[in-house]
Amino acid sequence: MKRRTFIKKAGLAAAGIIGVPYILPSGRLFAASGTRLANHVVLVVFGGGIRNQESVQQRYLLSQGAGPGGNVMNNMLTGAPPASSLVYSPWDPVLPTPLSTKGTLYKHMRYAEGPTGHFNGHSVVLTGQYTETSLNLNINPEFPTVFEYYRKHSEPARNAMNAWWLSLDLGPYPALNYSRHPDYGAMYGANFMSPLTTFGAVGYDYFSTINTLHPEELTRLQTLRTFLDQHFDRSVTDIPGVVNTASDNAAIQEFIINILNGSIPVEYPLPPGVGFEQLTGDLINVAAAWKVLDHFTPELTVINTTNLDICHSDFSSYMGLLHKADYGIGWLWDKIQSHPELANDTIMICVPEHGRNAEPNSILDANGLFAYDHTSDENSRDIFCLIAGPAGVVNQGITIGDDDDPVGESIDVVPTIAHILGFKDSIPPFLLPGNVLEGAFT
Amino acid sequence: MRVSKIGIVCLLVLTGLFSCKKEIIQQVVYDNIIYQVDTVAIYENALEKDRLKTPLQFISSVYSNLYFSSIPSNILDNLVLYRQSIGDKGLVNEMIINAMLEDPLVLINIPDDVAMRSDVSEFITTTYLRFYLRYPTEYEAYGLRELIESDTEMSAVDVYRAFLLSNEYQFY
Repeated sequence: MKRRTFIKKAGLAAAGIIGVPYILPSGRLFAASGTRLANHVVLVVFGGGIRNQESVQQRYLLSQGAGPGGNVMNNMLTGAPPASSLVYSPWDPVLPTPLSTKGTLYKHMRYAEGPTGHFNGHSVVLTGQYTETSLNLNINPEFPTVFEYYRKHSEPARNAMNAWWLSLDLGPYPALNYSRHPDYGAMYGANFMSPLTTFGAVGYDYFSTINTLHPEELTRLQTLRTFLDQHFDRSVTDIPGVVNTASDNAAIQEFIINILNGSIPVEYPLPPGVGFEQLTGDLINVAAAWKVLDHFTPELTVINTTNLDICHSDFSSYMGLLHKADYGIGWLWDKIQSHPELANDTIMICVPEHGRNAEPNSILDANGLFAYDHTSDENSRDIFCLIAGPAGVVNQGITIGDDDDPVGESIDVVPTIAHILGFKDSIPPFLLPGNVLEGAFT
Repeated sequence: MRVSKIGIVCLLVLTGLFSCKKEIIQQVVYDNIIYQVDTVAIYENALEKDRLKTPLQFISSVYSNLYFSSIPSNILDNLVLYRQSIGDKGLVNEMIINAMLEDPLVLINIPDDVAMRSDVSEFITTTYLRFYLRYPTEYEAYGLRELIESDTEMSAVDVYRAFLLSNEYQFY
């Protein structure tokens, strides 16, 4: 039996033994716990700002009056690709049938309130609360994140190894792994990594040759630290950041070091014959997310893609990066379906952080195409959401909502994840104004 | 004419000597404090430490404690950036400290097993001074001595690692 499997099973057994004799005041043996629809959720904050026109509406160059319509997201959506005027290099889809056939597409959802900024958009998706203009970028969000709800309200409570937040960028994004809410906070936060840095040049230079500590060294460290810490009146809760158990800490360190030294090989989402020079930051983040999923099989994983923000200045590159990000999503889904524990037990939710404006700015790219900003106009509040998962759990191949009748909001993502993982009813209702996207489920 | 030139020179000299002078106050602002370079006790006890070190302060102090020199700015920038990329700060601190503790330049400054065990009391006192900037209490000295002497495999590197990762080291 593998060491990690042993530790996991021993932990579950211990939790069971502790939990059995506890009888609630109501007379029930166990607290109410919602039924799970699946044991794993992967949320892709498919971002950088995506217009519905070029994604689900498949208008390609029509909005510019510069060419045909067509589907550039052939892994996620059904539809014929553009027949001409290509401003990107098309990649063959990795999936035999688009992801939309494996789930439910909310074609028009609303980002109803607040500025359409990147950090605002991420905060809304991850907290289930709209943000104000005065959002402080330098501190953790005011309201609990989905990670904290998951870890606190799941039964038994989950450790940080089960919740991961992988962000392409640093800046304010690391702060989204837990909130400053007094009832939640770092003790319920997610593990955070920014793979471009964690596994990048700095990581390689400093940590690729170091050794992980031997078990006896870890035991000695624990013994000494316990002794030293008992003589100091501040505890680990006075120090910011999520905290893993000692065994999880060691496992994560080993994972990082082994990726850096090449012991754990990394696969990249590239079609056969396409060189590494075609890799994007989005695809590297997807590759790292797969390593985390494959290695730790967490129950809740959130990743983002942000390269599409290039649309502020280069529409053609935006189309190419949208096409590649779509490939990455398809590749990740394909990998998940090849994993013995994750296959048929994972629901993937893909949602843009926000859209982009209806009218272009004045910047032309090399192909004479106009760029688009996102300044909170109505079009930038128009987004989509694709929920894919096992048949019998997720409705397959249906579309909900249209131009005239949008269904769902950004703030519905957190309640939907809570519904899938069975802890929705344990969350104080006043904390989540959104609704479960129930149309996606059988 | 001759008299007036001498007069002008004298006037200028006198003006220079007795005129009002602007008082210049030199204010030294430390923006990159290097802690604990000298092994001097500055704390009476651990209770005096109530402020959390910033990431920059923490990494700087680890480096200066182990290398006995201030950290080069490029290394500091890189490690502060890297520290941002991992959410569990204890975990990433451990990686940074382990990497430094494997560096031969650091190892030559750490007592070997014979040196440590030849005078455990002295080792404990200097270790507390080096990392905590205070003397150990009687109980701390006794307890740590017990731990070191009961584990023949425990090295000075193990002890240093524990001090650098302890809660007290995070505060000043």
